[in-house]
Amino acid sequence: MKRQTFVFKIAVLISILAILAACASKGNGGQQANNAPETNNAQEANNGAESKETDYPAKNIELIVPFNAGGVSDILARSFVEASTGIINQPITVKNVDGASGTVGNYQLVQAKPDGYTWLWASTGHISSSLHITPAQYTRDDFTVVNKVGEMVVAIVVPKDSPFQTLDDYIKYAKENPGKLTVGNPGEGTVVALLARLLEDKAGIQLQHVPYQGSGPLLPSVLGNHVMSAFMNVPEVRGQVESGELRALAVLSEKRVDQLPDVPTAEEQGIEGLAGGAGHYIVIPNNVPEEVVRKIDELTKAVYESDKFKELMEQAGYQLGYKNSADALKELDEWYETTGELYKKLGMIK
Amino acid sequence: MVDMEHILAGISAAFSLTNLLICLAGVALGTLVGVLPGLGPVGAISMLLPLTFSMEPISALILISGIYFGGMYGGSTTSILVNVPGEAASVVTTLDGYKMTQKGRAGAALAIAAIGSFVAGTIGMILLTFLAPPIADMALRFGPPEYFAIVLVGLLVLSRMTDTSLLRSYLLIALGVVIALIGIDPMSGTLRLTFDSPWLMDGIDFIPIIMGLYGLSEVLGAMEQSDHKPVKADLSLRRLMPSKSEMRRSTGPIVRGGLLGFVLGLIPGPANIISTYASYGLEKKLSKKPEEFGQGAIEGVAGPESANNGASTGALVPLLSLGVPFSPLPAILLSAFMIQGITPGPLMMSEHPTTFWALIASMYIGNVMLLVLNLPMVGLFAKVSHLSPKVLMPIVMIFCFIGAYAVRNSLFDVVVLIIFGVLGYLLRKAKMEPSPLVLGVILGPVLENTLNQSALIFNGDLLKFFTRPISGTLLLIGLAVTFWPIVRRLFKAIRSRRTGA
Repeated sequence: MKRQTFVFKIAVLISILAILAACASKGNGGQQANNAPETNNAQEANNGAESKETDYPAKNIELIVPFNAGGVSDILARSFVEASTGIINQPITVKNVDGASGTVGNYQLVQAKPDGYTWLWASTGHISSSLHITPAQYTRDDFTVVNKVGEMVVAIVVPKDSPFQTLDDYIKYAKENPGKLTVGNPGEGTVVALLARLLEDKAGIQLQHVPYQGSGPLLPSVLGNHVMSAFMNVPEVRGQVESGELRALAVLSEKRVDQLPDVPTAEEQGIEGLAGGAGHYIVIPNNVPEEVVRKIDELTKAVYESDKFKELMEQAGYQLGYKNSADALKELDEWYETTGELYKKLGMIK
Repeated sequence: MVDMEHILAGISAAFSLTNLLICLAGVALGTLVGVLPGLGPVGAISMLLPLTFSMEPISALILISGIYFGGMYGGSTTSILVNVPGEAASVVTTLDGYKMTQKGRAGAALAIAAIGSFVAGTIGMILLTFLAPPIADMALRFGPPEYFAIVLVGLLVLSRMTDTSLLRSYLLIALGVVIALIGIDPMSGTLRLTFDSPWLMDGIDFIPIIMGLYGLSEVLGAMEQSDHKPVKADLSLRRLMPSKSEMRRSTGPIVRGGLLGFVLGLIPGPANIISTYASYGLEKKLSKKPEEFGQGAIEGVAGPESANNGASTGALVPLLSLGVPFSPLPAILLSAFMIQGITPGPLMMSEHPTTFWALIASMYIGNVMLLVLNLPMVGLFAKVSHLSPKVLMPIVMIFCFIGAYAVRNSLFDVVVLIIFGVLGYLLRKAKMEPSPLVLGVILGPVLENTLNQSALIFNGDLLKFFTRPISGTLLLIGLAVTFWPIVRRLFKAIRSRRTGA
């Protein structure tokens, strides 16, 4: 009898120890972060002394994906890692750090050692528009954008028996029946939902927004005519549009997309400036030595251009579109401005 | 209509040695993932996804769907043996499964879970093969208002499932719904009940809640019974397998559970979880001895375990025939398909007929493999129930801690686990069964989201719930079931007053 309680006590002790150990290692992590700039400087000095040519990458690279395993970002990132073999001569490990619309993973990147061995597979939201409304522990100046990978283009879709044939029909109906036209989106605050708000603003119409929990539950709702229209990513509706179950009224990008070549852009139909989607970017901490940043840009670009990655992205329905750091930043800044004004109009921020 | 040549080509592709081995690897891995708490099939598939990039499309899909089905088999093992649900879809199995273990019938419970899963999976597969397109079109007639009606009626009806009094059940459900409110409001993005804590922003995951309420509270409960003797039972194969009468009692629940699960699998949301509750409720209602439920009735294991397999098969109907994933698990299957350049949906059968039929054939094969794989394991697993609690309980505790931590690598979830462990222990002391609470946590968000979406679709006119045929009928049934006892009591009171006067 006594011995039994004894075993329990041991078990409790072990678990407490485990917790303490975990806390302690966390503490160490903090210390490491504090020491980081010093070691970094030392490395830089070394590099300078030997040669300008960097031997980067010399060890395992960690790629933070700020969303759950299995999400769009995760699958793209893992495809990237798969395609990188043979181009980047070090293993890349994916680490999913989910939470708070991607800001938790992003914050972990901001805190990481600036040696170029921690990357973030960033999406537009948590490095741009989400920062208007999501309380994050970092600002837009706390990280470096290396380049842009590409984007998910958004399309406006309606069920097959819908009366709307073109974007014009759609806008006309909305003008005549303000607030009656229901439009589903995959979540409030997502880039996709913001584009629906942007359409209202550009066309001077009022829609009835219905947020869903991701595109999974939204798709059957628009197929079954429970909402009159939906804003969704092109790869998620391509099959339905091709088979005629859904009709795409417009794609919201600068030019037509490869996956739906017959669908005109919004601009072709007279709505200017209604473009943008959830882009993906390689992001690293600030203060990474410049030659390392250049090397990362070179290496990742080589992966984007590899046949393997192109093939994987084509199958996933992803629109590749490399942009260098400056161009990517410009695009992100513009999106930040646009959405800022939009949120102000909506009264969501001051 | 259907090209025989492609069907045969598909079947022979599924029977190639490589694909058989891959199928075996998939289902074995799936079972393992199901047994391990915390790591679910979604996580496992996404981690293995890069591995499939360079595989043949057919092999890749066979591997992924093997894991998908295997996960549904494994979840029940820990529920039955140590009261820790391996997956949320096995919570209900603890009610009678663990009681059976305590009575020395662990082997029978495990075997019936495996047999039930097999039968339900096969029923589902047959329905899927022959009826997928028409069923899928039916599923589309259900929009947010219909889902709201189903979930609401489900909550009202299922709250009568356990022996806990009705009022207490309602209170537990309400508490569960409130817990589910924590985090970011999906409609407006505002924070609710987070008290400025970044940990609460994402809400509380239900895995640590379940592990606390069931597993950890079991450990705490065992601590006070220091002279608890392990069950002694005959471990010979004959005694391990379900007896004739147990088999007879299970037949009905397995078939009903499989069909019920299949139908519920057509609903977006956590269908496989709902289906287990629904099947349990149904079997208890139909049983001649409802008082045995919760005391180790084999029907309470057979029904729900069949239902969750039926539901996972049902969930494939909208995926394969419409290209629409209804829950996270089919969604990740969809990603696996797309990576292979195959878009599931109306065109899949005509564009990739061989792949389609190979996949279907491999699902039948996988189901048989799972049964063959799992039945011999029963003897091995059943031995676990003969371990002394002083050995078993610390292991269960470590299991819970690792499982809770593994959900998102955070110690916060371990704290949640401990809190709910204590809560579960206290509920036990108060003779309250925690499953209505879990139901509230799981269905709360579905209820809230569909109500909000319906209100937006109706432009605020909630009376329209009753003008849509499906949602209207469901809601009226729900209201009738809820208020009938009150009305009946009222009638009785009036009548007795009359006769008294």
